[in-house]
Amino acid sequence: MEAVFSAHTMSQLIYIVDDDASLLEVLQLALEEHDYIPIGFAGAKAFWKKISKHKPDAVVLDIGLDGEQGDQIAKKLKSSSEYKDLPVILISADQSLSQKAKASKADSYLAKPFSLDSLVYVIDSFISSRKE
Amino acid sequence: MIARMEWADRFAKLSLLHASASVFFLDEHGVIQFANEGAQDFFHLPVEKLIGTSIHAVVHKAPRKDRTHAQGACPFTQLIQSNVQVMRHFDIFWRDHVPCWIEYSINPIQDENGTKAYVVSFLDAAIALREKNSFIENEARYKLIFEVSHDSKLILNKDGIIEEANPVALAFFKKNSIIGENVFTLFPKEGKTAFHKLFQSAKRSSVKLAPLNFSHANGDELFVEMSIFSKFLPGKSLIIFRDTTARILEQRERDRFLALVGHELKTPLAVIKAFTQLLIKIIAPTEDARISRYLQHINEKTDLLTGLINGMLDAIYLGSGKLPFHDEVISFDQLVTETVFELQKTLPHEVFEVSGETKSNVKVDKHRFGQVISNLITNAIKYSPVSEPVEIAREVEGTFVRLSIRDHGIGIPKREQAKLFNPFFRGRHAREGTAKGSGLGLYLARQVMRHYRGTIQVESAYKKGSTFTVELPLTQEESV
Repeated sequence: MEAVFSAHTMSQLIYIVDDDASLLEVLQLALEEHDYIPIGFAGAKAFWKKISKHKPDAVVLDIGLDGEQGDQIAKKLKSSSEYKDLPVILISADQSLSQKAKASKADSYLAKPFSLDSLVYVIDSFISSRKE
Repeated sequence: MIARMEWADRFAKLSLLHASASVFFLDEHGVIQFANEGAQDFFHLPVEKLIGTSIHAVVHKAPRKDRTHAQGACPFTQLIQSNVQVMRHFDIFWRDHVPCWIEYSINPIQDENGTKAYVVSFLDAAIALREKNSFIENEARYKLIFEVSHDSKLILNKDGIIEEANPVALAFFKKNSIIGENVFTLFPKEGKTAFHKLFQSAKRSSVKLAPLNFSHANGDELFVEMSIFSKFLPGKSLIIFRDTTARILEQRERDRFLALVGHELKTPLAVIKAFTQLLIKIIAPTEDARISRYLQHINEKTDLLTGLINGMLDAIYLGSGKLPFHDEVISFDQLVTETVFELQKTLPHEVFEVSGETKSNVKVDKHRFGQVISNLITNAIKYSPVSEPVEIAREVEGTFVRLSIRDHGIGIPKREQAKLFNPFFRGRHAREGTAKGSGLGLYLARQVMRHYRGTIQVESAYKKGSTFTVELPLTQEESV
């Protein structure tokens, strides 16, 4: 997973933050199936540490995390000059997901449970629009 | 002799005072000078005949054979002569050959010239007693209704000053007495405007009922259900209210718990769904076909469970008024067309016939109202034969837009129609093989229509099909 720049040089790097280890695993598997390079984080701390070293192509954030919440991370990313163009997708079972996505200026959101296809579709569309 | 005018003046005042009794005015010789309407009614004689007649003559109209008795019973002769004041004396009196009890009083008066006169007033004692008893009975009944109650009750004057309060009201305000206080100063500041509005509108419509929400300075919320009867008595209003705070807070707690449960259920569901989908992709079709089929079952049921949880959460949030509605002005025709178009994509074998135009705008949450439309259409499919089209008609009716969704299916028996909008109700005649809904679609549809002050109705005849109709107020606002 850490061999980011070896085999998949053309592949896009996706960071996923979710405290549910099983979901993190399956999302990573699904994105790998679609030739992305996903890296999973259980919380905000590890995410911030990694992003300062390597900027990804898109970020998927769960809202309900231990410590800093996903929408707070999104808000920080979107208000920083360095990451404001980075596509941010919020995922949550939270009923107020749409409002939180709006407030944090996230680019998209998916209500849990969502289909893997829709996650891949959303990421694909952000990545392809960035390429253009 | 006192001038007639002077008598008349005094008498007018006195008869006003004794308006409910029979009153007449005698000169010192016992001759009737004036009689009020009550006296006229009592003796069954016009006032003109009474005036100038001696009181003895009027009283002695008793039948000859009873005259002795009547004479003896005549209260006035001796009393007038003895010139004493008589208060509330009872005696028998003959009227139309029938004896009756009277309760009377005689007041000797004298003017500055020393001229004597008598004011006689009396009541039919039987009526007086009846009235007195009914007064006592009414008072007991009133006390029972007013004081023994689970509700707080206040009687206010027209300025909102409390004139009466029952013990529950005193306990509610935690005070020993609130008589003389202004009702508006008693309720917490926050929410007072709503109360004031309710009070004002009750003045126009005489009775007003509404739930009110107050908040104390310390942040504690207070909920009451209030009824205001503004024309309770002339110039008085009656306020009846019930403290529903405990009930509402309990319900909120339950809703919060259910919302939390819903959230916690969806998190593992997300994992189940994702792994199932991943497995469906990984398993090549050439491998055991049963595996793919079983996985499809898991996937479908996961979706059903998700739908149930989301429906339950929507119902909770709708009930608590917390479901966010993002209203926008949109073309009603376009909204219907788009919803049907989206449905057609997922149901390519179904036939939808859309007709009519409203050329009107509505102000709704596109997503929520779209859900209502697609719920009704998918329901129509469930209950119709595969080949029959679902007819969708749009029209304007007064200040409303109307959408009718008609199927040619089995229809809904009358006894099922009333239960149709209940949560988890499912008709017996749903088409086999259609995807089961959450059972909350129609229930939520009705809640959404209520939110928009619209209506939802069903007309159905067994074996002839059903028509669901929703009506929504149209708006004159232009869409952005």
